[in-house]
Amino acid sequence: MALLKKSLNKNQAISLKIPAEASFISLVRLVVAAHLRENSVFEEELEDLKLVLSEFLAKAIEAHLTEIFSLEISFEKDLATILIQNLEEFKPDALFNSRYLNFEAIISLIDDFDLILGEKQRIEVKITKRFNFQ
Amino acid sequence: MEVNVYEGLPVVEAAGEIDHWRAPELEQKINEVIEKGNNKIIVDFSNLTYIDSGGISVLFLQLQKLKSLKGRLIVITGNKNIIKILSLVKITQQEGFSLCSDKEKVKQSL
Repeated sequence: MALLKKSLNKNQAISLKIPAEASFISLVRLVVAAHLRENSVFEEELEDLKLVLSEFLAKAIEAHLTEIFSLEISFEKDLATILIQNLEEFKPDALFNSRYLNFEAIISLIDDFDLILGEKQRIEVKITKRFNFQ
Repeated sequence: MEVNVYEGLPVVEAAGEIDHWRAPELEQKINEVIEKGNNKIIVDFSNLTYIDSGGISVLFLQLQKLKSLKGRLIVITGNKNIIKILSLVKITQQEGFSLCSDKEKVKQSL
């Protein structure tokens, strides 16, 4: 068990390719949660990360994202990083038009939400959150 | 999602997760209950583990409808994360909205 835990605590990134459909967002939540629970992170902090990630993906899909996008989840020491790529012509404005759940308010639940200009001048998103352990 | 009755009021019971994908189902269930002439509705989230802006939007829209009917929306949940999100969007401060930790508390608030 100790060996297994040590192995899981290494920086092991998981990569996913997800169809840009709302029905697949729950699968993303499931994979992220399963990966981070292996590291015994605080459940409440995990829920915060799941919410921000889901909100971002839902808004990106609503804003006419149609291709398969890719997502890489890594965890090192106490820092979870999620990199989302292949976001087509995603426009960040789409994030800030909700009447009810203000995206600016919910990103306060994580440590960083970075928009990066990646390959072919496409925007990539990096979400980072530090965790406490149970 | 099921609709039951508690203390004479309709109860929409939702379990699992309510996200953008499942939110229309919640909206439809509450709409059906309102269309039957009810203006006080209980939404039971006791077995709900996750809600996002899709579900929150439905709650806000249905609360507006119920307020126009001089009614009330009562949400049951003891889940800390769901309570945190409901508080974050300040729906808990809206007139006509009540948050109860369980059914017994609903009975006391009626």
